[in-house]
Amino acid sequence: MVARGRHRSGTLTTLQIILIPLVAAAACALRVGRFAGIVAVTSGILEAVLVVALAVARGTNGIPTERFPWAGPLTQYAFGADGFGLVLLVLTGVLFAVGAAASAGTPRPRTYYALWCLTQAAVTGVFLAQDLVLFFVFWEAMLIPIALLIWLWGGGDARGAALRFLLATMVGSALLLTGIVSVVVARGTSDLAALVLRPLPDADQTILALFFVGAFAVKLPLFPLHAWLPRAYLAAPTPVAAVLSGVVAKTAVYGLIHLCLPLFPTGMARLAPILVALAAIGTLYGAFVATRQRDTRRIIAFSSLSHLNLIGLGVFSASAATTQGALVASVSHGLVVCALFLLAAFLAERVGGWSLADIGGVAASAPVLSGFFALAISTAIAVPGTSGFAGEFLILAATYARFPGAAVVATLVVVLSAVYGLGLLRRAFHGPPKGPARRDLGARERLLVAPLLVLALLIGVAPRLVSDRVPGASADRAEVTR
Amino acid sequence: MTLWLVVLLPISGAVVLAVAGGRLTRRLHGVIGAGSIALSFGAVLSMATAGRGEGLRATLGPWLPIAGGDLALAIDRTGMPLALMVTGVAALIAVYSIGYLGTDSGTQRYFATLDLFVAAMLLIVLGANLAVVFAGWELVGLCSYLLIGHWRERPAAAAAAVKAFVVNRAGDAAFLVGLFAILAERRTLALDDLGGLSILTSALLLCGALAKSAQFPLHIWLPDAMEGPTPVSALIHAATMVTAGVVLLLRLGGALAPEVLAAAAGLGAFTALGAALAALAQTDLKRVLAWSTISQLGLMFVGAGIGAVFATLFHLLAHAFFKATLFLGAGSVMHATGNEQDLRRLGALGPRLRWTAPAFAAGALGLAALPPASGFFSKEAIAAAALDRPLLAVAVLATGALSALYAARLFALVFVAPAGSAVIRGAHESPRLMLVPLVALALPALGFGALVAVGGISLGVPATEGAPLALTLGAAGLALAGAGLGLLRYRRGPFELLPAGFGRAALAGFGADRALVRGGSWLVGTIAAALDRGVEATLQWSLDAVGRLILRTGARSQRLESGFVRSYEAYLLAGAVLLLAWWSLGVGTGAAR
Repeated sequence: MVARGRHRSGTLTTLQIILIPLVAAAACALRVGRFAGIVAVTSGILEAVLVVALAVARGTNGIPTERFPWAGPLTQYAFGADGFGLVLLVLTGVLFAVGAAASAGTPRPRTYYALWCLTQAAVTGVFLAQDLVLFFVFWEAMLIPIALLIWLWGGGDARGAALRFLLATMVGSALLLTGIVSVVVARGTSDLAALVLRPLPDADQTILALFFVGAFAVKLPLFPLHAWLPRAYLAAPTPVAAVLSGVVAKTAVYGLIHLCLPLFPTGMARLAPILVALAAIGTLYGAFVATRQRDTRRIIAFSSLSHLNLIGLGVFSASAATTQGALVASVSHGLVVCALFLLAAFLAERVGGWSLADIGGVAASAPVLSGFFALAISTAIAVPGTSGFAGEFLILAATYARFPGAAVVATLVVVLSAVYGLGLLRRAFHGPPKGPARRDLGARERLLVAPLLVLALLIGVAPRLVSDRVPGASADRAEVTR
Repeated sequence: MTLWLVVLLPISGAVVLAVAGGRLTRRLHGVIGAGSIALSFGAVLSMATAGRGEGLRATLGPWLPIAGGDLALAIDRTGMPLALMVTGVAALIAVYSIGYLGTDSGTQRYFATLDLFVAAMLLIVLGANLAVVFAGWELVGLCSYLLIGHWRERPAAAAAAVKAFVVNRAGDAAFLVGLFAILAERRTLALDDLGGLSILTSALLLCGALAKSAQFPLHIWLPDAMEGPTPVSALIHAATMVTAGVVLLLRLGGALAPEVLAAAAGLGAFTALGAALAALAQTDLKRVLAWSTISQLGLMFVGAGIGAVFATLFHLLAHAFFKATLFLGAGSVMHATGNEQDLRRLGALGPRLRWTAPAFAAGALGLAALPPASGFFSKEAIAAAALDRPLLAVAVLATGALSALYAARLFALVFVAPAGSAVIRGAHESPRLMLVPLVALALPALGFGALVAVGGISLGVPATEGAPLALTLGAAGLALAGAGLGLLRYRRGPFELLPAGFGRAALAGFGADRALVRGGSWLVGTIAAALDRGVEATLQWSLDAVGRLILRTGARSQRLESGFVRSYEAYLLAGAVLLLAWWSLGVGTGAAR
């Protein structure tokens, strides 16, 4: 009885998930005053807990699509999630909760947290949409709140960074809109499941795939479309930078896996060599440029670029095994980039700036900060036992089977990541202490970062908690034998 | 499950220390650190005495979603003796560390990392598949990084730590590609299922082994690694981690391509000779030992390369005992003299350090391979196995003679020669917590070889045929000659045996270090600068140019509106234009077919 009751009310499961951040946004905008932060944190936690509870209770890797028609043609309620989306929804909840908690003390909290929750709602919608029009609506809905958060709360050249971010992603959106309209016009439906059943003619797939890939490649960002990234990461308030890189970039990964690969199998296969090459180059490029940076945020930005291109490599080489790797790496990167941004901010508070030039020896007076940083860097540079290794290994190993050259090039990143990662630790924490003793991490700061690092270790030891949500290498082999 | 206990005990020690260590006393850090390793040793010993050894397997659970990617351990033919040595030597060195570190403020970090290191090393020795082995492989590298940089406020230590990790990562990158190739060829990483690997795959794995075991040309990190605390040098950079490359070759054994094994033997012989010459020229107590380690590892590569499993394993174990003894003895000397490492400033310590001197002598005898010390039997076994390859055999014998020479030089300069400076006068023997492990290691450094040779201890691997009498006599004669020359020459103090120019070159490791480090950083730096200043700047400029263009068009029409709305319109416009162009070209309608 209980089970059936749950099932019947389950038609609104997806609505509940989307409503959490929307209601939270509305609540923040209303007169909750200083509770806005708590509302935003709760919204993130609720989303993560609800999705995990759903997955555990149903024992399935996804939420079956719930659909009913809406006002007219091409508008329907169609939400659901596959295993990939499910995991990213949990990541969204976790990172938005941590980011909201880390935003405490922000000026104009009501507007900030309202925009924050709106962003969460839009990202959640992207991960749930099973209809191209809905997908596009949520995809666009992400832009403005993020741009406003960067512009109004950012530092340095916030306006320039926000405009560049908008500009670049809008060019992508124009491509996406064009692609979506073309597909919808051609097939007369925007429902994803229906579209997958009737793939477009092979001849048209390549060019259509390009439109979609264009949008996602800018958002990821794939080398060389990343020009907006360094400024945006530098100017954005730290929590915004953390979710921008940790979650928002994953909407691009998700779009590639959820839309491009199933809608345009032939087109993506044709584009694969060039996309794989760009991603492999981008992986190295980000790491190379990171070795030259002396500003913690810029190091994190280019290290992120490297990781995101590696994830792209996994997506573009398009076997089930690389998809597993891309999922693990996405989660890992989300956790670690958030941890790194927060830790870098804690460090900057203590030494009075983001530059590594005039600091050193911080470990002597702040051993816990140093230890947390070292653990986060270990994950970022893919030491086994951390989630970073599991994702990187799975992507590279599976890519090697299809594109050995690209895999070998991208594997060189393990050397470069050691150079920039350990270089950061050495410059900031080791050597003789410069300046006064630094305050070590307080309880609140530890509480913010520790869950991220614990999750990274947990997934590092048990990556199948994540990777088993999507079909894996066994599916590849079945394909081969067939 | 006992098998996993072996690994999980030190890991839990590390976790307890990392999480709760801040609230514990320094002494307790040491007790937990050493205790968890000792328990692990007990677990291995209980398995060994219960006769449960080779063939034992245990799977803890799934790890990576690939075939042969489970968290699985297995004891193969080399597993039991290696696990006993790793845990046993590590436990002794952990006890020694308690005394050595004394009032150091970093004991929590130190012992947590030491515990993690032992667990990781056991993964390399016992892992049932290459995924687990690689995990251990990288983790020992991480621990080595952390421990070399233990005194992190010293810039030299911090730099040496990074150098060690980065050089090892270069080898790891090759190792990783090798794993990918194995996965593509064999579709599994399980060690049981590896048949003959291709030359390329074998060569990639060899590159990993060369870096980890500090073989030419990837040996450059090991001498610098001496910046770490001396017990760390004894454990990681002498007895265990640096032997991982040899362990890998032994465990893969016949799966590697014969050409690659031959290359390993050749490189090993070359490294052994070159490093022995470099050791002869060093003036730093620990650097002599570091170069000596590189040289002795070269001998093991020769053995592994020619497939002499017994001889290689034998020498690996014997070397672990005598080199750990030497390092712990060196640590005791440094403890006694206020961290004096310069051989020219030491001397005359024999009468002052009544326990350290004989223990060090035992280690030096082992290194010099004078009968009946351990090294004599193990080196002779490698030489005997290499007899049918004259070049290798000559290299092994020559290395043996040189080893005896620099071992005797080292002992003479530290303990016999006239005092080189005033620090000697204040020298005092180390605390008992250091002396007990030192003596406990000196005993096997002396006796282990003879016990194996007469069959008192079985390594679990069938022993090779005894060496011909001529070889035994020849090797003993060479060792005696080398040691005698060393003692006679150096008992009166520092003396340049090598021609000056050659000595300087040997002191600098024949320039390989500088060439590689400079070349490597130049390469990375140049590429990075070109990308950062060239490509990145261009990309930024293009984005700005496009932005200015759009904003200018927008600004002309709608002055009042914000930049956002303007660019949003621009974007909608762009979308519409694209859409129209797209359909007018007939591509979109083509999709409608």
